[in-house]
Amino acid sequence: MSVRYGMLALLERRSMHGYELGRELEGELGDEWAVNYGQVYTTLERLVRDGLVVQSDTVEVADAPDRKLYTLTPAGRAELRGWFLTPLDTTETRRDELFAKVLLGLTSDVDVAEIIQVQRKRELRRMAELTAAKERLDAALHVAEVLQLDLHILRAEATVRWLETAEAKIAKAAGSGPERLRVRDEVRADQGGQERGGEARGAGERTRAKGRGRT
Amino acid sequence: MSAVAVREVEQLFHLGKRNVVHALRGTTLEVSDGEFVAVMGPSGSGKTTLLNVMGCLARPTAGHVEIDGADVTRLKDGALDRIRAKDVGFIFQGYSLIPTRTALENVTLAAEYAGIGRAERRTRAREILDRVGLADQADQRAAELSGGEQQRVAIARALVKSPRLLLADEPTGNLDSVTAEEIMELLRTLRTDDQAIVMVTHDPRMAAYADRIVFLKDGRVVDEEQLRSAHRV
Repeated sequence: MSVRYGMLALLERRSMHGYELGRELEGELGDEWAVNYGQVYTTLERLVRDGLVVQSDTVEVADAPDRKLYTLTPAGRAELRGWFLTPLDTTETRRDELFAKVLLGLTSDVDVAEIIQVQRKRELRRMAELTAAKERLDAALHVAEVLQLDLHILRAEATVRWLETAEAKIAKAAGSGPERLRVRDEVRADQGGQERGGEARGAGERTRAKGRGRT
Repeated sequence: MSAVAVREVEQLFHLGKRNVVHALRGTTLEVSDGEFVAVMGPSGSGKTTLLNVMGCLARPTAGHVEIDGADVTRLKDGALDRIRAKDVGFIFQGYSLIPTRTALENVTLAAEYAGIGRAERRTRAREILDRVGLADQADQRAAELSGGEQQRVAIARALVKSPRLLLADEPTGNLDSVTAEEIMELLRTLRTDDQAIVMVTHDPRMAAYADRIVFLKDGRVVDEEQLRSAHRV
């Protein structure tokens, strides 16, 4: 998200000047949302240009330049509401390096189970650090910080769960020669759920591979 | 000193003449005083069996179990029962309370089994229910309480005897995620420095509350990870 919507949401509460906007954005959402004031003013200029915000007043300040007060317009309010209620596309579209490691590891000399375990321990250690940080906070007083930690904890958990799923499926499908590679279809489907051709064929082969593995 | 240790433990289950399940295959695990260990591993890896052996609910086929440094492997059943009643607290996924009894009665009963005198039982039970946040529900029947509250009663029941060892088998498995976190925070807050906790879980988020994670696979400890220092600062 650009800081654009954060600023619109703050201006919905009341009119503010640029310095206040920058300070409140960080105060509200935490350190990760710290912005430099140059960014605040460029964004304000664009919001004014697009008719979402107007400069409503000027406040005189002793020993400093006057501060311009900004106010949300009806168009800005509509834009903000649209942002709140439009679902975000959270699909991972980037090339996922962990996914690549596990997949390429299948045909490499390296032990895939070890790749998985090394990463799982890393994620669990991180989850423990985040959990410890959360325990030090009073949840009623630090809502933003706690929710931010929760988000990171749950994302790490998703990675751990994917690693465990991959480990189990790879172990199940582990056979000799080309059989080894069929697990790729399953792992890939779990990762992104992207549309892929030959899904039915892949499933048939998987069943056969499992059956053979038992004998 | 280690609060509990299992050394080279084997556990076989005979299911019919030919069907033998090898649940533990030379498992070794030592848990220190005040340490909180999470045991993770896929279904069928031996997690619950390991917990039962540690809690003297099952006698291992081979190997040794030590509680407080004393070998309890070959003790007679009666002696094992006493250790279980006095030194080991259990928390299960399904709470396992007596549904028709009140929260207070459930806790008092555990104190009675542990040999705590009549007068002291009720005082201690009230006190520990207060500490798990259930002072106002002490006289309500277990069946009338929510899942989270029932698990709090189960924690109070396990802790009322100040056991050396607290064993938990998927303690948050039936709870929603916020209630589950509250239960884990409670466990971390209430444990004392001479109490060890061993918790079996599938849930990485719950394991993240432990000091150390032990990974079990096919009845063996295959790996472990130190998450934080065991003793609180």
